[in-house]
Amino acid sequence: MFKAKKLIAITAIAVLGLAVITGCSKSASADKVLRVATPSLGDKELPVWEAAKASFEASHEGWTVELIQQDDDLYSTVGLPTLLNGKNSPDVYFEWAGARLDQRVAEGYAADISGDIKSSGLKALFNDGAFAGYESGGKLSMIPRTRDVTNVLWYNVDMFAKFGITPPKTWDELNAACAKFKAAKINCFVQGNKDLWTVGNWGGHVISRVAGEAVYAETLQKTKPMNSPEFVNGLTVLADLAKNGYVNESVNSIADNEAASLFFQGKAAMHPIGSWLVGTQQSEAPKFTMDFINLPAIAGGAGDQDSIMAVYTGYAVNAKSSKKTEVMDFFKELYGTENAKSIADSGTVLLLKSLAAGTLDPLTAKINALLDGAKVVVAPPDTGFALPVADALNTAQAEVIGGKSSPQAALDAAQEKVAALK
Amino acid sequence: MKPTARWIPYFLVAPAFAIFSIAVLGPIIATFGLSLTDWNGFNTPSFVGFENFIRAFHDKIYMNSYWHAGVYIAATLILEVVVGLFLAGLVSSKKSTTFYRVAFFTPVMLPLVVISVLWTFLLNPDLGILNRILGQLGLESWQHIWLGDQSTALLSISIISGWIFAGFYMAIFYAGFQRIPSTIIESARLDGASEWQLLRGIKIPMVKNLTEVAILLCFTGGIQVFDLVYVLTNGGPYDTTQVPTTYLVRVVFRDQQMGYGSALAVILTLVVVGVGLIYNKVRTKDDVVVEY
Repeated sequence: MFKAKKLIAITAIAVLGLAVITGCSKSASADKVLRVATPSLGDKELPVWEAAKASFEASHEGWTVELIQQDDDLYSTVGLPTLLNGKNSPDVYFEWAGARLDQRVAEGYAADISGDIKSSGLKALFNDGAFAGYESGGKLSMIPRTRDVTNVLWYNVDMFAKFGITPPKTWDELNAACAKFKAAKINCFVQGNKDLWTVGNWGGHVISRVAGEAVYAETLQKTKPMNSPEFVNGLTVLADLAKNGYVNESVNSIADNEAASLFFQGKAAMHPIGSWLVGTQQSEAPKFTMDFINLPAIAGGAGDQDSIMAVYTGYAVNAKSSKKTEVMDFFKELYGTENAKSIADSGTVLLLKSLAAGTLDPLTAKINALLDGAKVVVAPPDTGFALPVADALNTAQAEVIGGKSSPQAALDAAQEKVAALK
Repeated sequence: MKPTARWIPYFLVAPAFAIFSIAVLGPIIATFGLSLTDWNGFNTPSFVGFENFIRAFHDKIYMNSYWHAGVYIAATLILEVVVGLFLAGLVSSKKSTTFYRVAFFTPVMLPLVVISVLWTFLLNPDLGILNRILGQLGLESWQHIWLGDQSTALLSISIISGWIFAGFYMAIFYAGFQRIPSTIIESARLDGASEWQLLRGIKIPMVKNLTEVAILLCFTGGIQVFDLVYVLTNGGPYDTTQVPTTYLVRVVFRDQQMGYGSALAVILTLVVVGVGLIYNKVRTKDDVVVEY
């Protein structure tokens, strides 16, 4: 009996001692750890971050930078909330501007960095106008990273030349071009919508052009019904493309990367997707010649017919972090001239002065020009608005482009789903 | 040695109970707790009572997902259990069948995700081997968007599942057949029974317990199917292959509705446990079967 009591006492003391030791050592070292959360950086960009981390650690004695990388899909869904709710939440984290950023600010996870970015000298590294779109409630809440156009029409240059087709500027010209390709038994468009977001972006852009940006935004913010006549008209434009046989029949059964493969193999004349296709083409089909046009103007549309659909990404500083100064210092290292050039070489063009247009790949420079010249920027459904609402719209668009439902029926069903949300 | 103090048994059980609590009990209670809230992962969860459960029973996609799982289970009972039984009968009736046993069992050993990706390539409507072969045989009209057509997607998944798991059930039944006393088999053979009669009249009845286990495994595996469906169709097209697990993942991971997703998880758990209990209740015991 005595032995048992002694054993328990010793065990309890040991456990307590261990807890104290580990707890103390953790809290002592945690003060000088800068945690940076980001989706996977990729093999080419990671070494640049490692170099910035080494420079920062060398110039900040006793500090370490902890890079927390997660798979893209995981990060954008449950990964980031888990990190932010955790004990050692990141001091700075990758985020998408728009509704997501507004949500972070409202929930107390994104700080106002207007003063810090200026006083630290980081602001001086950026292009004029680089901060537009990174505010929430009129306050700068992100360190900018990139602006990506999420929907342009990429076309096969050789195929267009072979059929004597010039890049269409209007929807009628687009239909005429598609009719020519169809007559030659070539898919006008190839799209891989297995995960719903690709047609979601493409169709979202079309709807915003037809219904107008205000109606588009109000609908996705749930202040207008999804099955309004304006939305039905917008979706009908997309439905007609499918009805005319201009879109690959496999649209809803293949993924976005499979569609890109088919496009590079010359199985279709056009592929509606974002600016990241440049990087994919350079690595997977360097000999393939492609160019892009913005979505052609739709006659009678209520929206700006030169609008672009784009997504802005950057880094939000955790409002709960006390390391704003160190965050600014780290990004000054990362966004230094050499590192910025290396990141650009890996396919990501930061909005920095050091990256003059002449140093960029021609297609990337053309995309940047499109971004710089855009007067109206439309947010994609899934990054600009609440996910369940975007999901309802994307599902409706998938049904329409797959020929399963009429635009009215698909949007009625979408409205039913949206109405059930809180 | 008898414990001298009343607390000793509790003390000894404590470590196991602590691990069970952390690994099983805690997450179950936490999930149930979350199911009563509205939470997107960032905000503070707000208590909504049983609202998420009421919403689940009005959610057509979720309710239909059980129907899809039911169809999948029914199909795999035939394509996995019945085919597995006949494969076992086939390989147990011959000598030197190692090659066939290994061949049939190989798909079971490969990771499901690998197999699913492989089949995605095979069934790709534009570049897939199946459609190409059909085209070369002059059967263009048979070419199909196998995983993208709502009339064939679930059937395709079931067939792929059968191709994978028939070998698993074959192994189970084969082991059972090997344990049937050889005297019974020899006696039947002396009486002139054919291999088919042996299988139907002796082997299958004598492994009845294994058949029941196989059905239970098929059901519980079927209701939890995820990898295959996620990689092959991701619940599409138009949610026609959506099963409870893929929908749950979509609600939690894509739509960030943690509270609602937790409610769906609680319902799924109750369904699986409930059916398992009912199945155990109605299961009959038979003395003539081979016991293990």
